[in-house]
Amino acid sequence: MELVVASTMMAVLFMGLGAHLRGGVAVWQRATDTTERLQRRRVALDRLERDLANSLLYDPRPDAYGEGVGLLPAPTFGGEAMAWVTVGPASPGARPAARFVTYRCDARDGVQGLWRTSQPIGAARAHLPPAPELLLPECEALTARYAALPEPPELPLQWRSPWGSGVTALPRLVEISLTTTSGEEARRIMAIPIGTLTPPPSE
Amino acid sequence: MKRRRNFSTGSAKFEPAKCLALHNGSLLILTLWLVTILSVLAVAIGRYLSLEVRLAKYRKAKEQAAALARSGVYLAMQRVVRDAAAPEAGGRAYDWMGDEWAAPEAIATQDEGSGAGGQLTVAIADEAGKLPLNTADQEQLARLTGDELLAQRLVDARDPPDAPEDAPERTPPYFAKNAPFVAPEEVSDVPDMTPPLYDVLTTQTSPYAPAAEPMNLNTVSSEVLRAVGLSERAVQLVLQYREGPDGPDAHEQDGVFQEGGVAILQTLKDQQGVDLTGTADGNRLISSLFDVSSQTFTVVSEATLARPSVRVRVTAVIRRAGCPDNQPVCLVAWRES
Repeated sequence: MELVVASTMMAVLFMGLGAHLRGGVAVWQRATDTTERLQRRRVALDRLERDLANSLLYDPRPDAYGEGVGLLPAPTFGGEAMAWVTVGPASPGARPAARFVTYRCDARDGVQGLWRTSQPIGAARAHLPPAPELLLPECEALTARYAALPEPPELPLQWRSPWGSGVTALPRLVEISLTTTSGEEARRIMAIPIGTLTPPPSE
Repeated sequence: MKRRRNFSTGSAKFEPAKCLALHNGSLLILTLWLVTILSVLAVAIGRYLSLEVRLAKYRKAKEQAAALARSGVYLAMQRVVRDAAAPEAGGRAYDWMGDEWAAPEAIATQDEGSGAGGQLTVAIADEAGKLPLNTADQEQLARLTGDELLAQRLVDARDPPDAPEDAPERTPPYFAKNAPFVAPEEVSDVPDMTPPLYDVLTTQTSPYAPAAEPMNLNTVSSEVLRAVGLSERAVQLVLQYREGPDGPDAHEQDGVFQEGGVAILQTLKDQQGVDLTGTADGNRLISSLFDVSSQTFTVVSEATLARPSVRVRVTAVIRRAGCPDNQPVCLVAWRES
């Protein structure tokens, strides 16, 4: 009788323990997935923030930009994509150089995500296709807004999109929203310290 | 002897002592196994959580260090504005290596929450002590780099196209900018740039000074003095006067050029006993190449936290003249590591 009671108690104990372990493992797995997803999102936003902070107003002459060979693609701070000149090394340890970078959420080769391209100024002038780098696989949409001084300037900051070409003036503050395929949204306001709050004239 | 069960009474001939003796220690072994498994699980979870906590702490420390390093740039901006507002002795406006802005500043910090310590170091260097990259001629650049071809390519890169300058067949392709450099890192694009020449150009030249802005004779380096064509004798005269008897690292006995133009030659005559008037060196020293004040500075702000060990550096270029909206100081360039 005692053995039956002891066996029953042990069985109940093991069943409970097993259920908790299974639940714990599921929670752990979910927490790990969430952490990794957040880490990927943070790394992507950090990369974007650093590229924006190191931005360069490369050439203020509008005729220096265009589609012809030798002309640089125009910097663009749009609502869904951005392209500009920044300073950074091509790879860790390499010497820093001016580079033309682009950011956009779209599908390339059947893979949806936030894609970054970075190429030397010469390659961008030659309009060579850059090698894209997938920064955030689950990115569904990128939305960017730019802070602008209102009239009169005493009023709160206004947000506009797009900013303009960025040939003559870089934005000072950029609000980036990344929407993932699961519907989650990550938002961060990033600074371009050498930028301005006065938007370039409309084109 | 066979053990028989007495079905009539419902009781068994069960002998607990013998049974227990037969299974002696099995429960203990089972319990120990259970405890071992649970312990392994607890250790694994603990290690995992510990790693996550350490990652979170590192992330927080990095954010704090970045904010601290950025604040150092704004601190430096205030220092150069304060320096401009307070003229030197005699009411003159000159900048030199012993100036208030030139002394590196180290500030100890402490996080109110964790009590962890850190340090912010802010160093300001004079951009007017460098050769202006956008106005230096080919001869000056060749003297600085020791490379005639590179000097020609640097000039070709910034001036209007006057010869076939592009090299689209190179990897990566090269197209001359035909406009002024806006960042020192741009020289990296010039063909055949080697790491030593890149280092010379990024440390001894500056693309930030406006075209007509002279170099500061009080802060300009010996390499740049040689590059502009001064003789070795004139370079040593200037350096000896500037450094004073206490050498290049101390500034208490430094000589300072307080006025530009012919006053430079008068100072050298009075203090060093050498009159350069009418010589090629003298003419260069009193030309528009040199003045005694600076308007453009490089700020290196570095924040270091001890636990966890994090270091963030921000390098910025600031100007205290010609800023938009008549601001006393403005940012020209910003680099975050």
